[in-house]
Amino acid sequence: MAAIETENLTRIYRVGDEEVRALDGLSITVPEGALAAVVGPSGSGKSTLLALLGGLDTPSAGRVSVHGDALERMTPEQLAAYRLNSVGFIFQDFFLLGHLTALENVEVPLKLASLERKERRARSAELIELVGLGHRGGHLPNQLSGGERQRVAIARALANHPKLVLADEPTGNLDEKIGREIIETLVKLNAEQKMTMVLVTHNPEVAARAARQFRLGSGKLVEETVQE
Amino acid sequence: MKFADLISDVFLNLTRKKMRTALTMVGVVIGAVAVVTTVSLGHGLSAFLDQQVRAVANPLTVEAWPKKGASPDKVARGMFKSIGRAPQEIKKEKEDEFVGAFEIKTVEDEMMQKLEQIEGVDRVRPKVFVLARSFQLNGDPREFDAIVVPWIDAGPQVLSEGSVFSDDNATECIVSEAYLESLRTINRADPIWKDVPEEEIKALEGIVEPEDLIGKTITIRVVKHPMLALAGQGNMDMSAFDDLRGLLFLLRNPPQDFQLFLTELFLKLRELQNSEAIKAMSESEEEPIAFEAKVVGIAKKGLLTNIIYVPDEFAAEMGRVLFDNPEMYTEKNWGMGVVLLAKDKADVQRIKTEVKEMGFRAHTMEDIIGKLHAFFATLQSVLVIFGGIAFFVATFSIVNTLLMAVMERKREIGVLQALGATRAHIMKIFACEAAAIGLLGGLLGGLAGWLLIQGGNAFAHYKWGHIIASADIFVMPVWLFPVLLIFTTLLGLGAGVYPAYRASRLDPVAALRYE
Repeated sequence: MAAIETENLTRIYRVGDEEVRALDGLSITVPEGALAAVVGPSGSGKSTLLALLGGLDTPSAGRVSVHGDALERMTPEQLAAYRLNSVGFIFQDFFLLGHLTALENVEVPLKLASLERKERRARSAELIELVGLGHRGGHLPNQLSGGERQRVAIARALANHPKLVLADEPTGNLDEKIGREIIETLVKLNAEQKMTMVLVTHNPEVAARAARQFRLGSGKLVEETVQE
Repeated sequence: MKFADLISDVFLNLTRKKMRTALTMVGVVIGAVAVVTTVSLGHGLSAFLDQQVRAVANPLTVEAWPKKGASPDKVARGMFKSIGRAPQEIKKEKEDEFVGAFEIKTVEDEMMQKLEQIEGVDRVRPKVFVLARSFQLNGDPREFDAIVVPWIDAGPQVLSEGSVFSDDNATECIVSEAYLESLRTINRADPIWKDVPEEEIKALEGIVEPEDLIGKTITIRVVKHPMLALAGQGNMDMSAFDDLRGLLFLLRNPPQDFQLFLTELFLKLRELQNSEAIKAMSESEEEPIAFEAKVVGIAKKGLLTNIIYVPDEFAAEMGRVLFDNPEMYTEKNWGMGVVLLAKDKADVQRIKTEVKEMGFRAHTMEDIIGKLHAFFATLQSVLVIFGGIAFFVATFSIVNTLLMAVMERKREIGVLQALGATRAHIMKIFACEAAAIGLLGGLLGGLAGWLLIQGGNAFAHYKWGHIIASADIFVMPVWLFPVLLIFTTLLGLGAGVYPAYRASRLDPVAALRYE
């Protein structure tokens, strides 16, 4: 079964009197457990696609189905539950909460899922260890390097065992070496934890690591590459 | 999310901007302080005066006054009601409200006998007024001010030392313990002591404890009041009111000619100035009459520190001086009102009803206390308005702070939404932050108010404690603190609804892009 299926997916924004077609009839399929990369120039609709797949936004037309759930039919509450239980987000700017330590940041989705404190502590410690920051758990984000922050964000994205991880330019704010390490971590997680992963990237080297590449242009699919 | 986690997050968020949280709270704190102090003051004064009235007033009495007839409030109402209005028609049922129709109505002997027949009435006495000029301990050159109260108006609960009177017309008295304070402060430098032999001064200095005063003889000086004397003889001089009415008429209907108006005004004012009745009201040239009485008991300290209680017949004797009428307070003239003493407290209300049915106005001690409480309840609600204003302003301050917080934390809201927070959850965070500001403000204000009232009470004890046995001016009712906390929390919650709603409706994509 496909993890992700979109059909004629369209997202139109209104900017004043003008209509902007951020996505224009996009139909793609990503198999379960695959690592997919979305590439394309700025304004091609990559981030819009990610927002629609993550249930942060709703399509203007078309369908988007993730693990059999039709997101376009969900209420805001159902979408929130979907984001909580089925999706993990990783952002270019990390988006950690500055007043919380690394461990506490990882705990946020666990708190939202109403886990007991003890379970939360154990799970966040385990995840921080998994991303190689076991010794930095008690630090605040501004005491961590960019790479370390992104690792915390990855740990947070994995907190509630999501089936789908969506990463928007995860290496965009990191130097090359650190960026490569982050990608390695993601590739490893994808292989070990069998979760579907969609990466939005400008970097051809990063895209080359993905089993599937979708090249977008003006909201449409320009090219799809499948690596064997 | 679990409630406990929500609460800990809320308090964590509030500590992120400590100064702003504190400043937002100021309004709530001020409101809470105002409410705690004013409610406690009203409550305290009300309870204090309740206690004071109960200490000096007789709970077994019913005072009765003829419905028609003299009543200072009616005359005042009559005089001022007509100002600026067209002349009023004199209606039979309201004729005693017109100054010109004012008459003294006394209790007739026949009525007195009927009142005595009421079941449960022990005795009926005329309502005696005594105008005491001074209290003087025999042998002491000093005179002190005094209020003479007939025993029927007080009752045995006032007694702290000694005994009650041997007889209704005994020349005995019970004096307030507070007199001891005044008596024992002897300033020998005062020339008044010059001619007093040393051993007598020493003896006076020996009067320290209540029992030292018991058995001593005192002199009570009572004055005669010409105006009331006239009234007491049943032919009160009403010309003072006529002069006043003339002046009011002139002011209301001024002549066209201004010069004529001034002349008339001058003449009227001079007439008023020379009025015998007005003079009589303000001057008393006669010497006071002295009565000697033996101190048999000491009364507890109270708000009125200069009280002297005397037996009823002895009081009537002094009262006759005031009216200069030997027939006053006898079957020939029972005066303007009477006091009925019930045998049992349970009968007081029924007796009052029966007295009213006989055509009297009647009131009991409980009625006076009831009026007192009603007055303080009104005063309290007026004072609470000040707290209300502070709370009103505080509401805007909370709304403003939270709207600012929503703007500042837009991206954080977006992140929480991306991590799976529902709209309801975002709403709860901000609404609870507002409620927490209200709760903390109420808590701090309540505590500050409590400290203030402790200070106020300490001051009252320091200032009046030696005269008044218990002087708690502020009494914080037990319900006040919890009710205050609930109120300020709900106030915060109410103020938080709009900002919280705004936060919950943010578009996650836009919120995440917000710089």
